[in-house]
Amino acid sequence: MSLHHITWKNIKEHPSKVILLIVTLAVGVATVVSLYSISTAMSVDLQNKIDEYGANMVVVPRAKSLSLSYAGITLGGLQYGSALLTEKDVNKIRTIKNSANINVVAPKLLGIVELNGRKVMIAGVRFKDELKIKKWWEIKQGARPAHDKDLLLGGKAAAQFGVKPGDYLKIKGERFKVAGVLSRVGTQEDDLIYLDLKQAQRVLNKPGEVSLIEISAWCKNCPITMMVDQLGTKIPGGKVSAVRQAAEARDAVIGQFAIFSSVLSVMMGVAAVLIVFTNVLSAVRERRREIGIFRAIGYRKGHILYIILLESGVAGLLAGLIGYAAGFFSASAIAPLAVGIDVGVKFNPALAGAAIGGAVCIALLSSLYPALSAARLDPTEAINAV
Amino acid sequence: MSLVVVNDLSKYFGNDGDTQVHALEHVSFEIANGEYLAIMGPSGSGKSTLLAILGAMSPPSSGTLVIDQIDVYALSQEKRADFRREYLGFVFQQLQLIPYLTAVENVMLPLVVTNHKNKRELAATTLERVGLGDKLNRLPSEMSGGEQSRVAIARAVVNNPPILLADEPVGSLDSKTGEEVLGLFKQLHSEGQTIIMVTHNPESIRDAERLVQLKDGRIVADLMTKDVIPATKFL
Ligand SMILES: Nc1ncnc2c1ncn2[C@@H]1O[C@H](COP(=O)(O)OP(=O)(O)O)[C@@H](O)[C@H]1O
Ligand SMILES: [Mg+2]
Repeated sequence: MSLHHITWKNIKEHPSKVILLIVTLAVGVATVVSLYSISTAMSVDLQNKIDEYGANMVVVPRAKSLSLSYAGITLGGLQYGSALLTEKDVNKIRTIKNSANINVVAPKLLGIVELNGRKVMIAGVRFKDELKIKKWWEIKQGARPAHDKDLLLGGKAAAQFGVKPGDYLKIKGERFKVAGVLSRVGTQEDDLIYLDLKQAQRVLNKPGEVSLIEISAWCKNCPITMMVDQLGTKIPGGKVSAVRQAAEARDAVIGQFAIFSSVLSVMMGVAAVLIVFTNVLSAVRERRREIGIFRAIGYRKGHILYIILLESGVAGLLAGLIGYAAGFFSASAIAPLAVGIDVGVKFNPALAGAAIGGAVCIALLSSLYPALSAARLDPTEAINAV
Repeated sequence: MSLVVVNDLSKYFGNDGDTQVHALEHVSFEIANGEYLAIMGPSGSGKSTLLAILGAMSPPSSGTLVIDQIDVYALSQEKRADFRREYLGFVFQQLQLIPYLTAVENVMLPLVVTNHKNKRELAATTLERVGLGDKLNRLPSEMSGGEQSRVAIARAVVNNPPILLADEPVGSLDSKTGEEVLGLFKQLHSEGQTIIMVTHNPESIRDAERLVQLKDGRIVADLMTKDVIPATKFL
């Protein structure tokens, strides 16, 4: 027989006590783990949703211009020719190092045409990409353009020309069909007429040309400035810039969410620790008499701590393992209800280590104090204490 | 040179004032190696208090205890635990067996923290000596009061301590089992064991060589039993 044999015998004698400790601690660990996992998944999901909402980078031609300024007062730009962006540049975008982060590339060709005696701005777009990047677009009437010669009209433009889906409009002598009309959003977009990029290039007689490229990227693991630099080297004729407002708003929202979820996790953790502490404290205190007997027989404090801490350490280890597994699986079950399908709960070795290590530490620390204070008593005192 | 030297021991419980209990007051005596000493006195006279101090388990308020030339309460707490393990076997008034350990495991307890080789064999042999060779694997709850007493005695003597202390070992037993336990002490004494036994029952001192009587925490008599036993016969 050795000391761990005594520990084991005691566990076998009071399995319900040990199980209660394991369950309490495991529930605490599981709660913190699942809360943390879900909030991490939600944060990733939130980042992706924000990143997908509109462009976070834009490429425009590098205009060759001299800006006239005198004594710090800008008097105006003198443009003397402009470099062109082409579809070749568009294709280069997905070849940058962080291409995996790129979500949508939406090139556009802008031009002014006369329609029914009025000047109106048209935008050639790739509808598939444009509709993805303009998450706020709502087709009020009709449907998405499905054919080459389908048009999508801004709300104001449709009203100006008095057209509805199914009507035809003549652009540079060619017949286009109005497929859908957008709800008004209160910006310049309301005045525009959208058509297919290739058709726009043809009617404006600018084959292969684009005026600007809007890009939406997921930038949670890649700073947007890095991607701006990478794009700049790939497209020397273009001027790449980050849409600053979008980036700042994103960081603010995500920062707030991170604070909220970590405060919640810490609160749950503290509550679990307190419950375990009080439980273990009274459980070990109940063993005061037993500790006194061991001391009377001649056991050193180290022997007592070994007997008591081995039990709580093993209980903590089991609680950590069970709690992490339970937290992981419950988070996996709950997360899909809270966030998008593509953001799963992933196995996180650091979190697993922290959960198991934390459970062991809590169990050890909470039994250390009562065990030590019982072992410090004179044996008669410990034995007679109720 | 005496094995145990008790010098001017006092023990007070509680703070100064009216509520303070003077459990022991200026107690001094010596015990020779191999002696069988009985401590007697009415309930509350300080017997258990004295035995706990002799057992190195409770520091006195004043006075010294020297065993084998070691000033016991000058030792640190940990050294005192080592001392108990090496020098003393203690039979508690309430026995204090560990309920979740079998008889043989309870007897093994003192050996667990030593580097004895055959711990289980030694514990089993000791249980045989007290007549429990066939009940090694019984839990305390599965044994009678007399059997539990014998397990407690076996645990106290298993690592051959120079001194055996027992607090009212027959107090709660019927007279037949009490006789058996007293027989056991007699046998251990005949094998050279120093024994200090506390009792309030005059019958239990039969085999003791010497009697110390306590009253209100003071020694009121210290005599050899061969001088008193004939007198008790006529009681
Ligand atoms: N831990 C304690 N706290 C306060 N008083 C105590 C304590 N232990 C014993 N006493 C008191 O000391 C006196 C002697 O007690 P004790 O040694 O147990 O007597 P005995 O064993 O002879 O019956 C009693 O009055 C008892 O109430
Ligand atoms: Mg007593």
